[in-house]
Formats: sequence, structure tokens, C-alpha cells
Amino acid sequence: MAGERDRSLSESEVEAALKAWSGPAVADDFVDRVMARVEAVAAERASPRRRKLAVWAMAAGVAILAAGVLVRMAMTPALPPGTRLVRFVLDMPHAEQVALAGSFNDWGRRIALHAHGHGLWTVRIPLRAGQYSYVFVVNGHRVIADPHAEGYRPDGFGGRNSLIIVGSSGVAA
Amino acid sequence: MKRAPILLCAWLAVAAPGMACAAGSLTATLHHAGVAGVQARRLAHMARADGVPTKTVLGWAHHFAGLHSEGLPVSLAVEQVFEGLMKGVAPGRITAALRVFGDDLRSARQALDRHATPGSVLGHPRTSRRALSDLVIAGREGIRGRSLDRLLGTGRLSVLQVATYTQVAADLRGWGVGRARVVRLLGRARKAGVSDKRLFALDAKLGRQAAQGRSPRALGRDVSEGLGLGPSGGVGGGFGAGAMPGPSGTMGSPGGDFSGPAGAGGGSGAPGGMGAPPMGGP
Repeated sequence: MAGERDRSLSESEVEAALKAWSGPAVADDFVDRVMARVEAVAAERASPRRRKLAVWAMAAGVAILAAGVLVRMAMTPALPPGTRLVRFVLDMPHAEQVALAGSFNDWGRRIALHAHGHGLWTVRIPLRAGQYSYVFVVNGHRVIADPHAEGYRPDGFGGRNSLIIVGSSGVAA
Repeated sequence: MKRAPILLCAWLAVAAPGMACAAGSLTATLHHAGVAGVQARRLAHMARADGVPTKTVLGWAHHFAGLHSEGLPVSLAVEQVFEGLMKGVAPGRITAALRVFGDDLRSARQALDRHATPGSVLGHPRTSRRALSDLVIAGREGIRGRSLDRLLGTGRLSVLQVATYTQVAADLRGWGVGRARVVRLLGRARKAGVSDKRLFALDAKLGRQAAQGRSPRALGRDVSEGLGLGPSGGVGGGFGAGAMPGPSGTMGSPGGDFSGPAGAGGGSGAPGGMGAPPMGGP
């Protein structure tokens, strides 16, 4: 048997074998059966349960998106009509704390500025259109004018207040 | 020693209502002096918190009462006190500043009566209050007396126009533009009938330019061009030297006090380069 198996085939034998192999036996209803199976799978995928799941997934996605938008809106303070957010900036590298005081709240409560690294202190407050006098209070006691103010006015105590002009289109100090 | 807590409680029982009564009476005194209820309470509270002697606060109340009896807005004077307390100014200096402010307010009232139509003053109390405040500031910047008369003219203006012109004049002075230049430029603008809106818009624009370091001379030129007044002429129009803020935020001398042909009576110079009126206090 081993000698039979190892025997090399002649060219004519190979050709005859290929001819015999090139016509595989496929049933006549093979294509119909395959298509029926495909249709069955498609019908299964489009079942009401799957459709429900897809709707729920979409609703959950929309809900998450809406929640994100709402959280963002809640974190951004709503501005009263007619006001603008005005940014005050002071470059004071060695300060431990910086506050803002001015005529916008009748020289009442001091507003703390936030440190942003490299000695930069900033705060944003809503202001109506108009002119306001203000000063920075460094380390709780040192009163200084804004070096980059839009103007200056004598304060009646021998010093100067900084001036900011908030237009209807808004400005940043 | 055993009696110490009892004595402390007894002292508190007697003193606390007394202190509350004193604070209440101080508020009432301020209120009777013409200070609005909210401001009176706040002032009494701030004064107590800052350790201002009651006698000093009563002195302030006396000043307020004087202004109130003359029909002047007490709230402006109270704001001056709030500003002083906020800045940690000594009570004695606040009293002195209040006295000067009272005089400035009286002068401002006279100026308003002289330049504004009575109807507009009576009909617009808020604008009148603003005009008085702006006139006080302009006066501190040396624009008063004859300078103010030249700026506002002899004809009557509305109270809004008075407020607008004095505010812009004070701003220009604050940017270091000389007094004579300010009076001349805004006097011409008034004669040309420049609207309040246009003046305010230019004021805001100049403010942004000043913050970027534009020189007083250039700002004066911008006013002239911005209002369509053409070359304002006049060599030596009263520009001060380097009045813009330095890197430390302190101001240079506003300089350039008016000494032109028409004179500038009534305005004292700005002592100490701060542009502030002389202070009577320490």
C-alpha cells in the first residue's frame, strides 16, 4: 500500500483527477436554503424586543446628553439682564491674598481674587453698564490701584481709585 | 473664683442689652441725620466692627444732618465714609475727608443750579445725583469755577448733558490730559452739539486705549478727531508730562494746569501729583 501511495502520478492521471474534482456535487436547492436562512436571521434581528432595546438605548443616550448640558448650565451663573461679566486681573507674584473693592457694591464686601499661577490673580463679576471706581486690596491691608485700569480718579483720601467703564457691549478690565 | 461665672453672666445680662441699645440708638441717630435705613444699619455695624469711637460716628452724623437739611444727597457722603472704612483709612482722616466732600458737594450743587435747567434737575433725581457726583470728581481734577463755566457754557443744559460733560472731562483729566485742553475740547464739542451717546462711546473707547498705554497727547488728539472737531490748535494746550500710570500702578503728575489766556479761576492745582484737593485731615 505504501508503495502504491508514494507512486508519482502521471500527467494524464492528474488531469483526469482534476476533471473529476471540478464538478462538486451541490444540491439544486442549495441557494434557496441559504437565502431562507438569511431571511430568518434578519427577521430574528428585527424582533420587537430588539427594537425596544434600541429605543431605550437611544433614550438613555439623549438623557445623558441633556443632563450634561443642564449641569453645564447650572455651573455657569445666570446673568441678570443688562449685565456683563467683567474680568479683573492683577499681576502680584508675592501676594498671599488679593481682593477687589469698589463702588459697584457701595464699597461693601470685598471680593476675593483667585490665584492662577505665576502671580496672576483674577476674578469675574457681573456689572451693569456704567462707570465704577475700584481698588485692589493686597494681603488684607495694602490698597493699590490697578496698573492697567481704563482711568483713575482722586478718591478724596489722597489716593486714586481705578476706573472701569462698562459699556453696553461689555468690556474686560 | 466660684462666683466668677455668675458675675460674668450677670455682666452679660446687663451689658448686652445696653450694647444692643447703643448700636440701635446709633443707627437711629444716623437715620435721623438723613441716612437711609439700610445704609445707617450698615454704617453702624461697620463702625463698630472697625472700632470707630461712637463720638466720631456722631460727628459724621452731624455732617450728614447738615447736608440733609440743605437738600443734598446724603448717600454720596455715606459712600465716601464706606470707602474710607473699606480702605482702612483712620477715622480722623475720614472725618476730614467728609468735611471736604461736603464743601465739594455744595459747590457742585451751585454749579448744577447754574448750568442745568431746573426742570431737568427736579424731573431726574437719579441723574441729578450722578451729575453732582461727577461735578465733585471734576472739581477734584481742577475743573471748577471758571473752567467749568467755560466747559459748560452760559446757556442752560439738561442735567444729563451736565453729567455727561463733567464725567468725560474728569476721565480725560484722569488720563493726564491737561485742564485747558479738556475745557477747550469739550467746550467745542458742546457748541457743536455732540450727543451724549457719542461722547460716552468715545469715552469708553478712549478708556480702552488709555489702558493700553496711549499717551495723554494722543488721547487729546483722539477726542478732537473722534468728535469731528478737526485740529484743536493751540500750542502748549496744557498737556502734562507723563501722567499715565507707571508699572507699579501709581500715577504720575497730572500736570498741565490751565494757565491759558482765558484763565482758570477757581481751580487749585493738584498737590502731590495726585490730583486730589488739599485735605484738611492728618
